[in-house]
Amino acid sequence: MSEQRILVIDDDHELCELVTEYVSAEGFDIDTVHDGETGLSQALAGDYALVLLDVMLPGANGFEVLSRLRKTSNLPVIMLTARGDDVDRIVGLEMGADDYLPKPFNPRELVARVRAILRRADAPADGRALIEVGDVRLDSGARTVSVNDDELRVTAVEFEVLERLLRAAGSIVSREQLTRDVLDREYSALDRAIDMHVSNLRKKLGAEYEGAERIKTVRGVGYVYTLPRSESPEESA
Amino acid sequence: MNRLFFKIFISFWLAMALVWSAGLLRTQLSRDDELRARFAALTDQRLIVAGRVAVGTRGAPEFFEEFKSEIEQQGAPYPLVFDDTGLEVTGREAPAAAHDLAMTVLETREPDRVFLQSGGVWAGLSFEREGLVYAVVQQIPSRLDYPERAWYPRAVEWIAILLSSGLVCFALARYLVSPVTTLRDATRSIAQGDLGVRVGGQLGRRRDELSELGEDFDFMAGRLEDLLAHQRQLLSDISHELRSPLARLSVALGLARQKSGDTATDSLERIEQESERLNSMIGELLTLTRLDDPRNLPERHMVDLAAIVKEIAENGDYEARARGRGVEIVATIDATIDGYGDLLTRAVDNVVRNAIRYTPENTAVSVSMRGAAGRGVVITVHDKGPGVPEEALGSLFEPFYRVGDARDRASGGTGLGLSISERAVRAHGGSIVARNAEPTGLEIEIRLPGAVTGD
Repeated sequence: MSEQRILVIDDDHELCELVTEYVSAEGFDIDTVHDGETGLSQALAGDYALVLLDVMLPGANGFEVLSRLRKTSNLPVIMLTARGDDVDRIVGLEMGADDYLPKPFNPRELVARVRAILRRADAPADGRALIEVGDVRLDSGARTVSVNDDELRVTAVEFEVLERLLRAAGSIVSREQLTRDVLDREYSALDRAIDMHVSNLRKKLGAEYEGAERIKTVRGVGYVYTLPRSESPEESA
Repeated sequence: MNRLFFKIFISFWLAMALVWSAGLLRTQLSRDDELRARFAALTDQRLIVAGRVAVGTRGAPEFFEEFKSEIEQQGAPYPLVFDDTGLEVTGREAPAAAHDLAMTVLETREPDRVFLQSGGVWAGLSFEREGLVYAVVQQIPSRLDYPERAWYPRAVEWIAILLSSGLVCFALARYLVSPVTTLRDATRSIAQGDLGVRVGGQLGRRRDELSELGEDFDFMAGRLEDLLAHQRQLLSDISHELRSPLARLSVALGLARQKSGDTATDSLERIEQESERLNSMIGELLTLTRLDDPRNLPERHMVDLAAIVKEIAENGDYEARARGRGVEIVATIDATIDGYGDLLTRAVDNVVRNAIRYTPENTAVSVSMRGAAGRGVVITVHDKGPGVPEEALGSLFEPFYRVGDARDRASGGTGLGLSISERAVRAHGGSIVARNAEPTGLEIEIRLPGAVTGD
């Protein structure tokens, strides 16, 4: 897998040129596509590490491309949303985007987010390969998650969020901490990224286990992965 | 109902009742006259009979007793009979008026002609018997109280008049006022920002000036809606269009930084700062235009107000510390609201940021949250700054309104924050007001009547 190849899907040709110039200088390989259909086929066909996807696209729009991409692929996606458009942002995350960046953006910020997501996606397997809590088994070496031995399809960021929550199962992980660890940035009051990832995880894992809420929201603080009765996080090498 | 309705109803009813009762009184009076004449004519025959009998049975007063009672049943005293010398034949005392009339009757000597005197109070006529002439005089009752005209039929008549005229007036007033009420309600809806109201279907099938007014109103509302939509669309389009070159500008700026190394850092930083300012202004303009149209609002959720306030205060405090200022929560209460979390966060955040901007160094902005007197929640943000001139308080929430030019520009606001707060609060059915606090500072109060307090 060519780790540093990025696909930009955006209909603004000039912007694409500028981004290409900037991001290439930062050491990435970059391809640009200007409409949704071509973008989707290229994303599915090519060896990309990450896709930058604009919401407003001619042909199939960004959400459509994302939902069709997610049917078969967990390729990391950063949505480029319109600033001030909270709905776009939330819809994008809900549909499985890994992060979003409001347009216009500072290219430094873009590169930082790209790096953060790529770091998650390529996180090397450390010594602690397997975490099991209740019916959930997370393999940080193989980067797989399964519930009752059924493997789940999760995005890189969702995987990271779940890993953080499972490692700390039974205790609260703050939104600030999650944002910093997973997205490499400071949390702000209007940032709903983590909330959306958690909500996606709830949908994928199932809301409850053994009659208890799987991931509880602690009002104003963060989230806690509920420990199954009389069990503590079990880790093995 | 309302005042106009009652004014029309009462005045029409009064006028109608007055006209009816005047008419009734008039017929009553003329009927009195008519009855009096009829009575006199009626007495005519009886007088002759009575007189003849009286003369024939001179000195037999018992007959008169009988006759008297018969006459008295009709409300009149029995007749007096005079001979041609002016003497009452039955020997009763006669009033002067009766005597005078008798003399007139006797002098005229026109048999069977009825004379009336004193405005019809006395009636008299002459007759002959055995060659002698006599006069009979009868007092006519001044008020003709016929037994069939008791009080209740008259009361029924009056009540019927009042009821029927009341009913007619009620219907009339309703007919006149109901379209006015409809129009007023529609006007109010427009004033509250609902430009979609039309009255066309609500005025019934009438064809008159009021229905024309309704049509004109609909036309006006339509024009207004179009104009505002157009203006909003324009603003939104401009902002969108401005964004593409700005996006390119930001990236180009990044490239310039990449290439120039350290040579132009200051200038580039300045350009970046200004483009960031343009950015946020456009973003806020878009938010503002979006908030004006309720169709753009996302789905409502249960929102934890206390958590939002806590988070904003903490973040604000963190940022304010860097500039020697602080944000503290002085009171809080558990409360939730069915609403838009992001909008509420933005609303409170803008107000708190604004307060941080104006509170002097080494002071803190106080944020308090309490239950409202009726229901709902009041969030108050109080800075220790100089406050705002009284006349400017109402304009604080208008887009781009600036109290003091120089000071505000330096402080870096876009001039849209508080407008966004106001619209966001209004989208929750709440209100926001600014006032100068004692001893100093500006206090902004957000009222959310839809919030529910308690755990």
